[in-house]
Amino acid sequence: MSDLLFRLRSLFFRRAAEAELDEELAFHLEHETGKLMRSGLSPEEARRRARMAMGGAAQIKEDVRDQWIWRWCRDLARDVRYAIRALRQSPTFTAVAVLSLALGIGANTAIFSILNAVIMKPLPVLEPDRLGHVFSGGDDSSSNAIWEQLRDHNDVFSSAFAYAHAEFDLAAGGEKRPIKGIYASGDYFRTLGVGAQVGRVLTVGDDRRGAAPIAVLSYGFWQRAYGGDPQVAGHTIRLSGHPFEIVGVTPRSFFGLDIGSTFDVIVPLTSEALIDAERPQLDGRSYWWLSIIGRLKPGVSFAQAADRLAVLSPAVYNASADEQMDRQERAEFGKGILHLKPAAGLSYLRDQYKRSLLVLMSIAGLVLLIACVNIANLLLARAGARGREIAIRQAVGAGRGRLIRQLLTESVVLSMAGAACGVVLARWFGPAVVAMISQRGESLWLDLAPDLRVLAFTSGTAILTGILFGLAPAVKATRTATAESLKQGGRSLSERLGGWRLGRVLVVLQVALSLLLVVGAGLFVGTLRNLARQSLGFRAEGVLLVSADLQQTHDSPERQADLAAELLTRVRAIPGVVAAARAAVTPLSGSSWGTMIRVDTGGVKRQLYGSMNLVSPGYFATMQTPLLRGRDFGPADTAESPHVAILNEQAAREFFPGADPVGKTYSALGFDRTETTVEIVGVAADAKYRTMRDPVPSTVYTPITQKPYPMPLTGTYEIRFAGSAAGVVGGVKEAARAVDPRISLEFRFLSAQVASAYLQERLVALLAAFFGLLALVLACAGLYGVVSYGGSRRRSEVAIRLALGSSRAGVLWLMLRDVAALVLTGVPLGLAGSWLCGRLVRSMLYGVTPSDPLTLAGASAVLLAAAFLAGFWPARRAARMDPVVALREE
Amino acid sequence: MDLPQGTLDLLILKTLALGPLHGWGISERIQQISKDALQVQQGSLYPALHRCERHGWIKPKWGVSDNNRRAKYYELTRAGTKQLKSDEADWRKLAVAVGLLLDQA
Repeated sequence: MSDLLFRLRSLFFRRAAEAELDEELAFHLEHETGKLMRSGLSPEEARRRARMAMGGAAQIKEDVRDQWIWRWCRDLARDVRYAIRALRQSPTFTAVAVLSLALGIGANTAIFSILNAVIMKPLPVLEPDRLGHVFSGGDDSSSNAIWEQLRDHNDVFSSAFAYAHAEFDLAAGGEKRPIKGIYASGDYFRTLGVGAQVGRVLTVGDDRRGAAPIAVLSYGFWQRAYGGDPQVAGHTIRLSGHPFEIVGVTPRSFFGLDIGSTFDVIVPLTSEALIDAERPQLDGRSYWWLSIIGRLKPGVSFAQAADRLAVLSPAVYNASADEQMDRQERAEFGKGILHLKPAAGLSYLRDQYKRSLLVLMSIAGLVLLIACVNIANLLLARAGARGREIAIRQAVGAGRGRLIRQLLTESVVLSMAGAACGVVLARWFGPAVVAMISQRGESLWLDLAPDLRVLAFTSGTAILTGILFGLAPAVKATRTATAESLKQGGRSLSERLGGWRLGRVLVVLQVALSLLLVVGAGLFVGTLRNLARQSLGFRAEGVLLVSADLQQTHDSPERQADLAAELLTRVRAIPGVVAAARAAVTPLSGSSWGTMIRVDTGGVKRQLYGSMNLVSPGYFATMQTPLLRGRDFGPADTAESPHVAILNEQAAREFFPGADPVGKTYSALGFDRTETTVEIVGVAADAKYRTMRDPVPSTVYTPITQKPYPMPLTGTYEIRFAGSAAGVVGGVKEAARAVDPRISLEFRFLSAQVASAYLQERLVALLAAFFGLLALVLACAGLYGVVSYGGSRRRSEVAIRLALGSSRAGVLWLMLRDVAALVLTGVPLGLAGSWLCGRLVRSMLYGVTPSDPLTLAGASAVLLAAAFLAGFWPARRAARMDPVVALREE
Repeated sequence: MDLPQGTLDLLILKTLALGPLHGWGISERIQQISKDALQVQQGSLYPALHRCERHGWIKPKWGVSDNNRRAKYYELTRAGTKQLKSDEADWRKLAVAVGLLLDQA
């Protein structure tokens, strides 16, 4: 420790240290002269002798300086300069090494920066670890009634707020221009400790019913929509048809509280009653749509705050029960308890992608490891070629430690150069990966700007890889018997054999690792293929989905239902439309709807759960889901006619085992709590409902006209078309305008919706395939290098064999046998490794198991073929040489 | 007489055990006590002093010499005292061993 301090001090206070040293030596000289003068010498003679006794002042200073850190730094600078010179002398080696490191480190940096943004980065607010998220029971959302109770009786938090995400429409009718909004209560910004970049932020005064509606813009939206106009405050923005006054802009770094998403505008929570004037969620005590966040009071721990919340809970729940609840339900509701969880984990993205990201991070790490092994091999070969240089340096007195340090400097310089290029690659690669998992319309937004953690990761990786691939070759290279090496012109036998053996071990390791990655790629690609190829139960191609917002018409629910039906009739008349229907839930949209039904089979009453969908006549024909028995819904199935339903096969099997359900009945509770009897009129084929992975759930279809609640239900229009989609889109817009110009529309394709249901699997499969390929290329390059090196090493041996009459085919076989031995050692190791690692990702697979023989065999075959190609060319070159030329060289 | 390698550090520490002293004073005292038998080369004295300082055995401080000049004094640290003890013991052992060997032959 004192050693380091001493060195550092002399580094930073070098000038002072030099001056002190000068003074010290002058003092010495003066005293020596004085002593000599006292012994009777003349002043000149005394000074001359004193100076002689002292020796060269410059030499002394140099020796003293050696004790300072100077020497260490100077040596480092010299090593770096030397390393750069040495690397420049072999540009091909340097280029190959830097490129493979750039790919490896770039991939790692990119994945790490995503992992960092999703999992590690703190929220862009003041002291995010002091923020708590209030859970109602197990639910992360609360009703406005609960929020108001908590707000008015809050003695837990220093301040708290509620917020919800919403979508606003910038257009007034026609195709929607959706923007992302947040409803936030008055203390949102005060609690988060976020100020305004321009103008002011939302305050408590704005969050009152009847207050003038205001909006705060995000930095990004301000830049996009207003060109960063500093005078933006005071402008009016129309959100879903309602005017809001813009009062300010939030800072650039602020994206809200939900990782993976961002926002365009923030409006007061109470303005929800303005925008959803027909049925404000603000007043609905059964709408659970708000997230409540509070900042802990100073000195209060999470546990203490949670205890206090639990005490408050009965009062809060009792005061916020829905009027429609009966006494029993009310009592049950009043037992609810508020929980508190840290707000830092407010991200569905985190839960959804954590596993995939960690797997991808490991894969990227393995690729980098392969790249390291590759470079270690190249360095070994290079060390062979540099044996003479190293021997000379040792002979003139360079210590082994010093030489190893020199060689390590060289490899760290290499890895630093690779890291620099890798960072550039990552800047392109990271956003590309994020784009891959972004869905159209709801793009994923992540703050990928490199922070200290990313910088530390990348530079740490660079130094570590440099030492990892540099150490073994450096140790090996300096273990040369000096004299022997010099004598043999840098091709000492022991050194060559040592390097050769290590090189072979490295190749085996490389083969095993790349096989592991190829198997991984095979498993993930297989998963994607199984998901994409499975029978959906409907045909996704050629179906346009249209969401029409009829609420904008502000008509009565009955009128809206008529308009929705009228629009469907008009849509069916559009040229190019083959069939059309509307439904409450479109498949694989991520949303679902369940219902409890009671079935009476042979006197046994059973309560069963079914996934619901409300559909118009023609739905099954439009989706091309076969109707197996019975009939489709028809125009005669109206709200007043007897209730009917169609089951899917799974529901038919589960609800009425071993019987034909057509003509049978079940009963269900309506919205007004009256029990209705529903007759089953048909059975449809199974079709995927909410997710691709889950088996098809028992599904109950009922007519969209017989909905269980009084609110208007337009649903989504499914339009099967032939020919150009653009023509149909134009036709739908025209039809909607004809029905009512205030209707706003949103278009998407069912095939895109299906594809986005396996975005994550697609991402993992694509990246695993990419990394697998990269690993294969790296392993082949390594193999090629080792065979080439072996070829040149055994040049004279091969020449003698050829001269003695051995056939070229025989020599070729001799060389290839070597490769085969390496590869065949690596393959079982790789298979064992993939069996072990495969178990860790089992839950991410679909339709394949980690020990899938086809995948394992396929991956091994791919690897063997690639290895054969990589080994064949250099082996053939070795076999094709002219023995006379080779022997003359010796 | 030249000093065997590594002995200079020991002599410096031993000299400083008597009290703080500047570089010139150290070389003078070594010469005096050894009755001129040991001559410290200045070329090795100053690097040795800085080496000892780097190891934390001695620490420098600026003081005023007997003729009222500013001078850099060195004094022994606690680590230096410990080092001196072990070095001294080592040296004595070595000296005895070498002596025994020389007597034998």
